[in-house]
Amino acid sequence: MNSRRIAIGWLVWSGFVVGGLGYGVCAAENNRKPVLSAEATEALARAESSVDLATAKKALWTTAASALVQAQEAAKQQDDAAVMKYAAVANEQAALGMAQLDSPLTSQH
Amino acid sequence: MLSCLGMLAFSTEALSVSPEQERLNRVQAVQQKYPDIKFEDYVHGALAFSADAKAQYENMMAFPPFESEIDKGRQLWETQFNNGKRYADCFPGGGKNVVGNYPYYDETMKKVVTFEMALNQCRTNNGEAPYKQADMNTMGLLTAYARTLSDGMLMNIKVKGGGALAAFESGRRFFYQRRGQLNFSCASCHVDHVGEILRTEYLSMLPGQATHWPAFRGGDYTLFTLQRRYSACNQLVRAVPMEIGGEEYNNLEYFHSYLSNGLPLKSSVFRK
Repeated sequence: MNSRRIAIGWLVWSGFVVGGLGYGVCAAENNRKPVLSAEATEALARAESSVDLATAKKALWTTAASALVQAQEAAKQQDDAAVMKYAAVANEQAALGMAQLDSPLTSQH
Repeated sequence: MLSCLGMLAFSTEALSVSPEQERLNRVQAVQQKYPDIKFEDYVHGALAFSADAKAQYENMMAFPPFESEIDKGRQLWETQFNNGKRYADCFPGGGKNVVGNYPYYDETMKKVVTFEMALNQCRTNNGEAPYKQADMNTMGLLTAYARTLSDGMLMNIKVKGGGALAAFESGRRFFYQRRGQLNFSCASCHVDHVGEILRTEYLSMLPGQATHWPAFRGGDYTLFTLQRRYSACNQLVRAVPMEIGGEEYNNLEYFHSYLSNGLPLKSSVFRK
């Protein structure tokens, strides 16, 4: 009877140990998930800064604003390539919006 | 290079003519291009270019399908504040024939005051919270009725003094400044290509544009105040719009309304 109890106890404890190890492995795998590259992080920060500046100058284009949103969404998905692509569009379109302020006024001649 | 210099020279010139000269220039330009359209018909905007569209408009305005919305605005206008006063107590003549004087430049406040701002001043002076100017269910409906009390009044905007002129120039610059990814200014359509067809619609003329707001637009008669229309136009050229009721649009409305001087108001009308 005693040996039976010991065997059951051993099985229970070994289950905890195996379970714990499994959890540890999963956690380690989760920690190894790819993070956004430094290059993509920098591109996103640059795009956010450009859009902020264009907003402050009241020169923001909707295309710049929506590209930034797409870049931020891509960053949540840790998608480096998409972040770089959309951040570049946001950065360029924000710069063009600000440059537009210096263009001559229009009118009929 | 020379053409660039020429354009720069023009932009300086555009900002140096007086408000009245600017208005006369714009009216004369339309008269030269469309001599058959009478000055008083400029208030019909794009409808003035199409007899069919104008006839449809007149049929619709005989029994406006959005009349119940104007009634909601009348109820807002007539509802007493908690202190027993009404909007009519805030304006001369009970609010009749006043809108043609808005916007004006307030020397004390050092800024342009629109009719919507005056309505909100009336509310706050009587202990009520101001409406959000972009809220069509409150401010929009209120103006849909209140502005009709000035139907027939001639637009009569004044620009006097340095502050007023600076606000006018700010509005003028906004009107002629290219915006958005499509690189259009307001003037690109409504001055340079007035009367031409963009997609399926005629482009209305600048003089008269400020006389008929708010308007009920499209198949579902969506209520648009003038500044909501500015916002929509900005979005159409892919520019992030300014704040409705903010300084930029207020100054634009000041300029825009001055350019409609001498034309009769007709509020809460249908527009495509």
